[in-house]
Amino acid sequence: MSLLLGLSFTMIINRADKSKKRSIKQIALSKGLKLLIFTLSKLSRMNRKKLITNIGRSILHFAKKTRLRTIANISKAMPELSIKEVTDLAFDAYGNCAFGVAESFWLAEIEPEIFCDEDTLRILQSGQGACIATMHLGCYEAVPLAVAKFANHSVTLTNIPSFLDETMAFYSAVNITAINKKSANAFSELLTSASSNAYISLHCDLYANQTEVSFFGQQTKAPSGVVLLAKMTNKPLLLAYAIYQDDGQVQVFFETINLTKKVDGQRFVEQTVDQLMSVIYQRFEEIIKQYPNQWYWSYNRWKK
Amino acid sequence: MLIQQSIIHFIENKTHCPLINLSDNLLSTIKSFDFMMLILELEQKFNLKLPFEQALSTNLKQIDEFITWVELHHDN
Repeated sequence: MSLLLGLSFTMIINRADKSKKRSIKQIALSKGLKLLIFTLSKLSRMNRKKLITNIGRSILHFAKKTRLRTIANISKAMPELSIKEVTDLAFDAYGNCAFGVAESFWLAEIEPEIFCDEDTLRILQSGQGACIATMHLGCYEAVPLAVAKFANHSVTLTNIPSFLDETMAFYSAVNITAINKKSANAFSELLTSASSNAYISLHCDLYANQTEVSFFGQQTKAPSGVVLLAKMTNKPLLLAYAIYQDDGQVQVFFETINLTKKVDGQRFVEQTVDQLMSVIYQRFEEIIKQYPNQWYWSYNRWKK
Repeated sequence: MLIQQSIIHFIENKTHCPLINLSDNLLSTIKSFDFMMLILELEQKFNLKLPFEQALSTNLKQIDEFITWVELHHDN
């Protein structure tokens, strides 16, 4: 039953991606998903967590390729772990991530606890906008959600097909503007938002053929659009991540990344895109080591 | 002229194509990420401030239009 729900959910999303027009098929899919979400919403949050986490674990059990990749990634990043520890972590993380993704459908129910220093708080409350580097950890959309608590203009990129989002208002219900990644105007919308004082949260922990970084001791590449945006628009650069506590409470942490660096002990120079990405990735690594069972390990992160 | 050369050189490097057509659409020729890199590079190299939102408007699509637009900001 659990697996069936999980698979049908995945099929709905995959099928939905194929066409941009809202066809009868899409309307039906959208209603089907709505029904599934409605059914799940009848459960208490903790029961929902248990169910979705188990669906995630079951999917990983049957998805051999994904399971092997997850295990290989964890072993590569943390060679000190035993095979059993790596396998247990792979299943834990996949289950937790399944819940983290699914919670996007119930964002209105989440009341994140927010942690940051005073300077970062000032940036969040200033209304002047910022570019925020975030990661696939814990509750994926909790960062733009937390930003929306401070600012009117919280923007993120999404993979959810627009016809589903329009119908179900996942993001607009919590005051987040979601730009569809696949939309032809995505890039210009992002730039326009950045220059109009929006707080833009972008996930930048997965692979993209852009900037060289060192990640868990190995060279790879990363998406650095968030840093470029900050530099182009002269906005502050923040790093943020969301984690789940044992009781299901979501905590969101914000930090400021300095765009300049002190050299010769006195003068400040602007850091390059590569240097800033290196700072961000060093922090990502520390955060993942702290919460290894909440990060999405299944992606082909170190692709050649 | 220097600006034109810099832009063409940047695009040629990104596309690995030695003969670019200046009437091509800029954002179809290079990735949006590279477009941002190009803007930052031009700002730094020629000590400019480019209002990039303008560059994304519908009237400014082709590579040659972009070159003229950057040159105009440089002259001003």
